This record gives sequence, structure tokens and C-alpha cells, in this order.
Amino acid sequence: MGWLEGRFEESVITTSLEQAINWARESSMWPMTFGLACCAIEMMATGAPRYDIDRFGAGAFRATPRQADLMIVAGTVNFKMASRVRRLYNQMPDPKFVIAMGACTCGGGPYYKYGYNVVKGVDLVVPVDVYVPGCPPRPEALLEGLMRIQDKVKAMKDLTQGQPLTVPIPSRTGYTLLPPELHDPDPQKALEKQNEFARRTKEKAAPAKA
Amino acid sequence: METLTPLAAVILLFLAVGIGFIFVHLVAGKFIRPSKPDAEKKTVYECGEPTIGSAWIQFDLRFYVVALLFVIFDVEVAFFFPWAEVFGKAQAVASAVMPADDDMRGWLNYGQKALALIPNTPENATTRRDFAGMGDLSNVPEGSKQATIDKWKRAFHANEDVGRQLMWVSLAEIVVFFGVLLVGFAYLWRRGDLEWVRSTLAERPASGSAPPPPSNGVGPVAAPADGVLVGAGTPTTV
Repeated sequence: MGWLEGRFEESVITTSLEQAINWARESSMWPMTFGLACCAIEMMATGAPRYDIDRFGAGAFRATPRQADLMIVAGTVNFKMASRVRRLYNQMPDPKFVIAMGACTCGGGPYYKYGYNVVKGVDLVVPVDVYVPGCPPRPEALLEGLMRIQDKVKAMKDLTQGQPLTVPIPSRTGYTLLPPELHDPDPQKALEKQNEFARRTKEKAAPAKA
Repeated sequence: METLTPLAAVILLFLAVGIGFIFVHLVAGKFIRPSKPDAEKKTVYECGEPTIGSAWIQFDLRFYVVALLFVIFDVEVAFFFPWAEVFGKAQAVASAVMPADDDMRGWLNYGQKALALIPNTPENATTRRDFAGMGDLSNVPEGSKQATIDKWKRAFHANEDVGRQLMWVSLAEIVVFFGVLLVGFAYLWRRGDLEWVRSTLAERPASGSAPPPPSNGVGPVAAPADGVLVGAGTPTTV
């Protein structure tokens, strides 16, 4: 709110004004085109006529972060891409929101165990407001995610409370939690255990001689 | 200050509302929008990549050439428009069909067509009045109605010739105008100003025969550096 932020006491005027401002904000959440992988296809389908995200006011996908207030991270985030995701998030003006769309952004998804190049969840990179699980989530699921963001916007109290000053720090590490038979504090022993496991499963998976 | 004319008042009101509209929105936005400037937020946008160097580089000079040529030929086309209007009106008069004696509507239309070609100067006042009055027999006494209609017919025939002459003259004028500009166009086409990609390999020396055949496998005398395509992304000298 700039100068007006957090300045007022709660009264009927300020709450009505807040409601009006929040309604304007939630009815025109312009997403940034951030389709990284397969979830982008479902995002495109959501923008298409059948599931029409434009009826929520969010149909104007902006290519530049300067004009967007919603970042729908749709797709797997690699380590190479993670720095770009963070930089673009930084370049978005406030108030900004993030939807983590798809299993890959929620916690690594199918690449959780063996994906050495995948960031296990985009909330390790940017603070996420709404998680939309699915692989890929249906357009209706993404629309529900958008509606949850709209609820979040409805609950914003800019005039009376102001916005939080700091960005949340992720509490996860992103490393996978391996079961005891694969994990060992000593890295050399852990590697031996994992190789042994891989060899055993490969033997089991060998096709029977006809 | 004396009162404003209605036109001036309308223009002032228009300007005031327009400027007010913009400034009210900007001021209201300044109060309502959050303002959290950040060192990282102010970085230059380059699709998420860290920027390399400044964005203030010299623009490609070929754009200047294209823009200049566009302006010249656009102004030429702008001159075509008033010519086309006059030509059209002359053609309307020259190819008009003489209305029947009692077709007042037709005479009125014809009078308007002829009137469009006569400039509104004091010398032409009577002629303009005559043509404006075509098709209007209300002020003419009963006996001289046929005489008036005959006068109109004579004017019609005179106009046919005048209109046809005007058509030919204006056509010749525009052909000359266009021809001069076509010569300029041909010149810059030959000169190579319309090529987006220029190659110095294509420019042979004026006094040269074909370069001597390679004796030891080395190419023509022109060093490889000369064969670089000029204008492929580097600033060119025009």
C-alpha cells in the first residue's frame, strides 16, 4: 500500500475499502507464463475455452514478471532453472503470489528419488502460497488452486495490518529420506549399500530364460 | 477575459478531463499500491538470466535506412490522397448522365457534383450559386422554367468537356510525379539500399577481370576477412 499500509484502525470504512481493493486484486490476477514442462500443457488447457481461466480474470498471461502478480510454476524445476525462477520471482512487483502446480513442484514428484538434477519442490526456491498436486493436475484442479489464491487475497488486510516484511525461509532441505538399508552416515558405506541394493534388484528383474 | 467560443471551451474541457483522468489514477495508485523497492527487484529483466553488459548498444543502422525510405514514400502516398479526391470528382462530372427534363432530383445531384469542383473564391461566387441552384425551380416564374432547364443542359455539356480535360491533365500530372519518385526508387534499388544482408564478396573491383586461378590452392586475392557478410548482426557503415 505504500504510504497507506497499516495506518488505519479497523472500522467499517477501512474494512469495506479493503474488501473493495481485495476484490479488484483477486478478480484480475495476471499470471506469468511459467510453463516449464508437462504441467504447462494443462495450464494451456486451462486457458483454452473449455476450462477458461479468463472468466476468473486471470486470462491475461504476461510474459514479463513486471506486469504479473501470480507465478504459476508449472513443471519440473531443475537446478539450472532454479536460479532463473528465483530471479524472476524477485523481479515481480508486490503483491505477488506463487502456485506450485504439479507433483514436481510440490515435492519433487516422480523425480524425488533418482532425479539428481531436480529441485525437490519449488518451495525450496520461492515461497509458495498454494500447492496444486497432480501429475499433471487437471485444469479444474488448477482453477481450484487459483480460487484458493483468491481466498488468500480476500483475507489480505493491507490498510489495517500491512504486508509481512520478510520472505519465509524453507524449512526442508530437499534431500531425499532414504530407508535404513540404503542410508549410512559414512558416505562410502552408504554408496556400497546403494550399489548392493541396485545389483540385487537388477538380478531380480532379469527375465527368466525361456 | 471575454467568454470563450464553444469550440475553445470544448477543447479545454476535453484536455482537462483527459489530464485529470490520468493524474487521478496515478495519484490514487501511488497511495494504494505497495512500494517495496529491492536491489534484486530493480535488476534489468532478461528472461531470468543475469545481464551481460549494458543495454545501451548502438542500434543496427539498417533500421535507419528502412525508416528513412518509409518516411519518404509515405509522404508520397500522402500526396496521392488529395489528387485522388480531385480526380474522382472530375471523373464524376465527366461521366455523369444528363438527367431528364423533369428529374429535379437528378439535376440537384448533378449540381452538387459540379459544385464540388469549383473552389470557393469570390470570383466563382455567381457560378457556384448557379450550380447550387440546379434542381430548384421554385423561384423561377412559370414561363421561363423551360429556359432555365435549357441553361442547365448547356452547362452540363460544357462541364463534360471541362471534366474530361481536367481528368487527363491531372492524370498526366500524377504520372509525372510518380515517375520522378519511381526513378528515385529504381536508383536506390540498384544501389543496394533495399538489401538487408550485404556481402562484400559480391562487390568485385571495377577494373578487375576474373581473379587469377589459384596456383597453390589458395583462394582469390581477397583475404577471407573480406568475405565476411556485412550486416549480419554487426553495426554497418551505411
